[in-house]
Amino acid sequence: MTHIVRNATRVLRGVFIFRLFIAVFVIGVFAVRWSVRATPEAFEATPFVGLLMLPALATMFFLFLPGLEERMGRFYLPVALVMTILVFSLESGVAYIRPGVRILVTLPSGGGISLFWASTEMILFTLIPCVLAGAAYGLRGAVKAATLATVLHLLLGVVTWLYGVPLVGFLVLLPLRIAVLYVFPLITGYLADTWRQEHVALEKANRQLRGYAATVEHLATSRERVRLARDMHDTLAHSLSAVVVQLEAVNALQETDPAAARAQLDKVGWQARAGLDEARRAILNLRSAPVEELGLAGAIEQLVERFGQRNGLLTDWAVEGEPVPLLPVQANALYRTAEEALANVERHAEANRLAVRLSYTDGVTLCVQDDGQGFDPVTVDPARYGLVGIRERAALIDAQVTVDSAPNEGTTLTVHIAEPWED
Amino acid sequence: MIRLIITADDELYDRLAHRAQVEGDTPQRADNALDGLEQAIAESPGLIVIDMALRSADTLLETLHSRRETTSIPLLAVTAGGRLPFELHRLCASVLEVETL
Repeated sequence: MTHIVRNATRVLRGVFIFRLFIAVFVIGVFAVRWSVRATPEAFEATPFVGLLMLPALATMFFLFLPGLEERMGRFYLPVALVMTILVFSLESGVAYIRPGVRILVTLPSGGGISLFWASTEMILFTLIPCVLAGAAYGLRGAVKAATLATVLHLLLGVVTWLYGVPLVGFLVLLPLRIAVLYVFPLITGYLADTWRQEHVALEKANRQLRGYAATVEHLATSRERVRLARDMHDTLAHSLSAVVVQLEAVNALQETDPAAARAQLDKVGWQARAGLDEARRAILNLRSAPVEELGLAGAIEQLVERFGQRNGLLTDWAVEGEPVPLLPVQANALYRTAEEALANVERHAEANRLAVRLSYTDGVTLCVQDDGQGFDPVTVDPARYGLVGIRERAALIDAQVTVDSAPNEGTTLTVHIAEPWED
Repeated sequence: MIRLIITADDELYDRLAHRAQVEGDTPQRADNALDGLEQAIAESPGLIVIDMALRSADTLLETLHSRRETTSIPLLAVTAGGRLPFELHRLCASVLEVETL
């Protein structure tokens, strides 16, 4: 909007400069090189020319006075448009009242060039500010400017009639001129309004996109913080707590039983190295977004592979069926569920084998099975094995969790999404 | 406007609820992620505040953002920073040391 107004002002100045150039060119060049002959009508028209020159000079100062545009702000262009319409309308009016004023410079060929170009065709110049009003202010601006130009044009007709000039020529062309004065500005105004509406819609869409981007960024940050806190709690907290307890034991044993203290120190060293490994693994996890980078199947496969290497377990990984697209929220939740399930196996199961299966038949199913010591789901507090978190996470994404376990018979955890969410 | 506060921490809820009332909102509580999701869908609150210490808070955030019924509701994630267990603070300091390993 601001650009359009600024450019409309520039165009208006350009038109006025063009108009002045014509006048100066005629006076400066043709008047010197060829004979100048003013008709008697031209002298009679002098008061009218003076009347025309006053608003023309005022408009020129208004358009080119430095700093005026900044001081007047949004009122500048409307005033400039009104003044320009007034000047060009008056100029065409002079031609009606005293047609002879048009011939001021006579060429050797006998032809003539108008000094003020005060012809009825000045209505074309009037059209320019009307079109600019349409471009800058839309349909309403176009209607106002065209109406002003039309009213001035009709007033000129009245003045012409008062001066006793026959109105036939004026009235014959009047409908055409009024039509021209309205049609072009209205077309421009309509196009400007359409463009402005599209611009507003685009701005709105851009704001929404920026909002979405900020929310996604916020979500990603929050998720990483939560993951960091959970990893710290599940890995470093356990290791460091164990180190502290063992060091206290060393402190207690070093005087009474130095051999036991040395054995305990060995344990501390082992525990510290294990903690270091866990910390490195946590850092490795923090530096990657496996589901986004590898897809759900690839991310879980990597998880199982690293788990097997770390714990020395026999692992079996399989994907069944044709993969179906999952929303990130469901894919991420399944991946985190697999992480939690493997962490449970590592902490509690004392297993030798681990089988993980991701099936895309009849929905999406993640199955984690170990041959460890198992537990009795009826008597054991589910919270102790982190099952509450797994169930809660599953419920949030419309997944069902089943746990099949018995003492010394291993554990099978199944998470099933019957109907993956659609985007 | 209803302001849904999802936290298991009573003290944090009291503080957030007081803040909501001062700002002219009606606080409503859910003390776990599932209740939070159900209330968010049923009540269409004007704002959802989630305690990031809550279990499954990350999946809850993603779910609220993904579901049509709740995707347009503004989400605010909070942590009771100064009230985190001392051990966690100590561990966070350890993380910086681990980064240099």
